[in-house]
Amino acid sequence: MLGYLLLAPGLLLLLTFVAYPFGLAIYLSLTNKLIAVDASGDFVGLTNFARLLQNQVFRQTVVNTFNYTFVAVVFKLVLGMAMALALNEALPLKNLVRGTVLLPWIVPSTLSALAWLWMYDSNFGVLNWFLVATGLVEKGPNWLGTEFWAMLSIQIVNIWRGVPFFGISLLAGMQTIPQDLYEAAEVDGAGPWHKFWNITVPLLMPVTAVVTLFSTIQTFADFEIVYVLTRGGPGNSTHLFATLTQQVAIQNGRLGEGAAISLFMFPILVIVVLLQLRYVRRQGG
Amino acid sequence: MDGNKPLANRVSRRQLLLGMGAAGLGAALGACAPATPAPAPSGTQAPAVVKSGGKPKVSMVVRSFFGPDTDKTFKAQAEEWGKNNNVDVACDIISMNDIPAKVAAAAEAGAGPDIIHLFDGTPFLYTDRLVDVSDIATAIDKESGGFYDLAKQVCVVNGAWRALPHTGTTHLIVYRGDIFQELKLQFPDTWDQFLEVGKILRQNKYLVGWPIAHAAGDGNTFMYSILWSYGAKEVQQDGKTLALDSPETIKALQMIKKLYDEAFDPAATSWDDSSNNRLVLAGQMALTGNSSSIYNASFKDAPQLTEKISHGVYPQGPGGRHLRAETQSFGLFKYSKVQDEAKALMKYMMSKEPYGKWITAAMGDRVGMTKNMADLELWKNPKLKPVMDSMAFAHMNGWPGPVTRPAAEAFNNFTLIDMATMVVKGSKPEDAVKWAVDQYKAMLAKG
Repeated sequence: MLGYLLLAPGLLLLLTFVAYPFGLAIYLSLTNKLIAVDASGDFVGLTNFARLLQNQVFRQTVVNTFNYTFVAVVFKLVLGMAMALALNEALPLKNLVRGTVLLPWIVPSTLSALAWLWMYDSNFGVLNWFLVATGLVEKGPNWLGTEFWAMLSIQIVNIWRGVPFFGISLLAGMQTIPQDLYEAAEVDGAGPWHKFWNITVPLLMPVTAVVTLFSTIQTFADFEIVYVLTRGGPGNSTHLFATLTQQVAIQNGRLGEGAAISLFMFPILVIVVLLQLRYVRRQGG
Repeated sequence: MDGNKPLANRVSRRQLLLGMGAAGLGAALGACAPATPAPAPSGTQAPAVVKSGGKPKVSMVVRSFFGPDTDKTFKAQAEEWGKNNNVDVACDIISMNDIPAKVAAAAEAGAGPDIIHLFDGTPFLYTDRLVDVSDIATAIDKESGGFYDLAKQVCVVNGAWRALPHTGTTHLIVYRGDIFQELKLQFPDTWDQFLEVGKILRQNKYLVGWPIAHAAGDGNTFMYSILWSYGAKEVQQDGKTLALDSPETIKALQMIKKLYDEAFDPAATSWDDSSNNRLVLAGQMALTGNSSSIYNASFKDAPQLTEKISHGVYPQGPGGRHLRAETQSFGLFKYSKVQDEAKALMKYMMSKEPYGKWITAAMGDRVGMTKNMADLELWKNPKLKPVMDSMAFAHMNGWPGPVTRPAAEAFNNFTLIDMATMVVKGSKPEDAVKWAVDQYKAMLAKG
């Protein structure tokens, strides 16, 4: 009995702040609910989902979100691993360096996105000024004004912001790997590459999987970077699920359709989560 | 909580919890009590309704404006009215970008500020939740020479005023008079002339253009205005019959493509609403469209340019001269417990003297929604005169149809801008129109 009683506050929090909003979102996605319109909110089944599939902007958003997430997570993983390896070495002022590299992750993303907005500015931005001043190009790219550069630009900001999370998490994982494994490998004549590939990578895999999982979910649901930098443009080439949801649910007041957009990828994310968790468990076992 | 209070006056945790419980119970009981019908307000004096706990409190949330003293004047007037009428007025002035979410949350939750700014056709979206303010609106209409048609268009829903028109913006062509003089250029009266002038300015390394990007204000204003001036329209007058697929739309898109290729800065596809303001104030831009906010900001940020910045009205095309206007109205939500006081405050803010002072403080960034504001001294300034002149050909998005939900959605979704973006990126105008028509069909089907 006491056990249930102790469990109750946590359970109550979960039910109130996780289960209820999630259940409400599922319900809303099956209705034609409009904000503050009394005559709306009828059950419409899967109509919202069917309509979305027919909408070119939504289909483009799906492609954008996958592209954004895949590229950003891969680079965050690779660069985060490099950062962790560098920080794992005996550096001067080690703690200060470790603290400093976390800054991009600590700064509120809206603020850092605003700084990037200024840097990307094709007329005033420091990036184009640098490229032209150093003679690398005659005229810098239209960073936020063409489909290719706009997507790359928002990916760069996401990568810049996310690398410290990977770096510090992987560093924590690296420090749990027993040193004697490396010493034994050295005795056997293993070089740095072999030690990394045969000791670090496999023993770091559970941490890597969990960090990648978290990052994938977060990147999938990213909002601020796009909202500040491009608002989904040019065309709709940088709309992600979250920005399109905001446009449809808040700006247009179509809560039902907005909920359907945000839930559309839920089944796919569940599969990704299950696969990764299963892998982690297998590794743990 | 007042941190300077002596310790002896501070409440203990137990007292605080008891107090909160009592307050919660009071609020719950209050919510269950039947609502008392509100008597109609008279004049600008608030009825002497004093709440048991002290003075009645009216909260209002309005957007911030760009005129130097616009916000300060508004707040001072509202608070002064409160002082004279024994009403506490809490006036929050927030960024325009934060208003739609705040309005949506207040409308859905049934709680929030008593009065809030509603943009354009918002009264059509939240009709059920808004108080009918026909009493004060018709009184103001009579006293003020009448509201402009576009004010009625956004506030009158099914014959009733669901919001009180407050203010609007008309955009101008903003240009550098000194550069025009130096290059011997005439102010462009038509889009063809605009293209020619733009080409010369570009050859002389001056920037020209509007955002062809997801910029809700400047981007949409340019796009709606140029399409209309070529005779293109989204829908027919009924607001339901699609009319976008027309030779006029194709011609307008061809002109937009020419403007982008030959006159505009290529980075226009990445601009936001503030890009052209910054570029003019940095001395790099010679021709764009905006409200008078760039001119107003120049007094502080670029005084060397103030005299050089000039204004004119939007160019005309084969379909005439047209301009997309934007409006803000005062919405009073039904959940308000101080509807009489709120109506009296709204009416006061629209009365000739304070309203005129406020419009004057905005220095052309705002136009009045009542015709008596056309006589203000302000409009004798040749730099600001085009603001008032533009009211003659200003329309709301959705024109020539009424303001409808699909019209608002097309605006929020940047549908026309995206159509033009496709063309400037190389798609055929016909393909871009087809894409946009599909988008409109989907919006109209949802109703």
